[in-house]
Amino acid sequence: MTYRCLKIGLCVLVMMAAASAHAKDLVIDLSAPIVKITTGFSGTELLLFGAKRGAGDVIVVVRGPLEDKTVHLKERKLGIWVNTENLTFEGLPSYYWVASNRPIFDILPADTLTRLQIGLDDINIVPNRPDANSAEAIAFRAALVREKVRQKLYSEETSPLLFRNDMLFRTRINFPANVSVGEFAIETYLVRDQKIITSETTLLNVRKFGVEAEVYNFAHDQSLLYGIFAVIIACVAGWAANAAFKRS
Amino acid sequence: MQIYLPIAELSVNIFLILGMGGGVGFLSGVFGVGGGFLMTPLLIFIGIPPVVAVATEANQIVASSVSGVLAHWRRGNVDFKMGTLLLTGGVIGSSFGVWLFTFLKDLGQIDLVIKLSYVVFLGIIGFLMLFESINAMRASKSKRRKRIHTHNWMHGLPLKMRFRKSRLYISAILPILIGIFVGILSAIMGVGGGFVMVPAMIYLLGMPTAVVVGTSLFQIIFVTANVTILQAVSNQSVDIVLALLLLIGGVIGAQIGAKFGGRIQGEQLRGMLALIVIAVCLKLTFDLVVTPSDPFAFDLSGRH
Repeated sequence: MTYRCLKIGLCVLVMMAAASAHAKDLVIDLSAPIVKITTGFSGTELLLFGAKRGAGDVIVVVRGPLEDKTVHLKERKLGIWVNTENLTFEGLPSYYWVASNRPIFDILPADTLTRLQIGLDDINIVPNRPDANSAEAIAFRAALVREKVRQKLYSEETSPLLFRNDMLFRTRINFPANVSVGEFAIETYLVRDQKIITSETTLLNVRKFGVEAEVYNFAHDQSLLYGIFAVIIACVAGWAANAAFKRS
Repeated sequence: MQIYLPIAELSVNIFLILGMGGGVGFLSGVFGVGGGFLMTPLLIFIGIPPVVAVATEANQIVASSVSGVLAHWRRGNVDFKMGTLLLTGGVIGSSFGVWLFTFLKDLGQIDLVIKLSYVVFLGIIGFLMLFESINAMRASKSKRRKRIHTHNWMHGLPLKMRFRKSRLYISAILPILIGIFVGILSAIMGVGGGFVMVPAMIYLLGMPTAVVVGTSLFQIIFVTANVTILQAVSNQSVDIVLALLLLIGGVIGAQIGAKFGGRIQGEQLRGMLALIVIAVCLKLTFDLVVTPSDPFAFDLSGRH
């Protein structure tokens, strides 16, 4: 029932999108304008749909809020594995996802992909040490991307984007449970003959809601009170459990 | 069933966490150790960021220790005078320890220091306890009881106090020093420190085994409460939802454990604890020595 309602709703939205596509060459929308992280959150999937005018390929790129990451290299010293070197990468997207109707290398030339940072190899992940020699930096960068892919925060392969007809298209975006909160930028490109005709940027908010948000804000805004509160709860719980067992 | 943790910022299986809390809580009740030396590595193993694991585990140990200490208190197995001296040192030591933790984190070597501390302390204590309990079990079968304790240099220290419950007349300096030392370990290793405190009370102070467990739990409450508040203020890394789940399992496990522990003899209790300590030590040593599948390591912290 709910699924049917959703389907009808989506059809209406797609038609509206299609109608406005007469004014613009490219229109997109999401099945939800916001991702709510609540107690039961274990990752989610959003439907991105849109309409384009005329022939052409579509590429969608989603980037999460920027973050810094430090990668350590382990080496064996005196028989045990210790962190010997480390390299910090600054301002990399915490989440990265690409979808297209056919392989991106067939749609756009390599230099354009690099310029727009489309594809795992072209994400701007730069070390904060300019002196880091390049071969070493590449190994560290590869390790970082590997880890991101393992955590399902970077998509290793381009996800499929389906055309319904010449006009309508849709694709699904997966967000794992460990997704960062903040503002996500969704770029959609319409490409014809290896050239970008137009692009659209949509923002998506990933936020904590309800109890999750309250606990998080309490912990960050009034950390001393939060700490004392945590200790009191622990004492009461310990006492309550003891009292319960004494009776039985 | 999955539940999202607001501070750790990830989703975990609720029954896995409850089960881990229950299992470790049971051991906590039996042996009078906080259980942190098992729980902290377990939490990191299931993907909780280490900073969150250390701070949250401190909070959970507060609960299981309160629950455990009440059970021991009813049986008259808590030496409050000795406990107060130990916790005075413990609060000083753990405050210094949280500062040291931050310092080592900035050097980028906190992971190694944590693991090496575990290997060294668990190794020494585990084997010492194992040999002691084997000897004690042999001695109690064949020969008459040994003297409770022998006189040594410690009995020459000033500020002597009488501890009626522990049947001791020793200097107050010694328990405070032990408290400071265990407090530092507690903050750095993310543990209550019972696995160091219990043997220290038995072998250094010469306290009777029956009183040791309750008194250790009593002082652990205050040291871990101090660590919880300091971590909440400096790192905002106490996950109250995770702590609540752990302590629901933990307090129930600790209650069952405390009843179970009362039925076992002291030597057997020490022997069993020794085996668990050695097992954790060997696992950690193995992880440090064996070639990792990926030579690169990452800061798991999900902060932004």
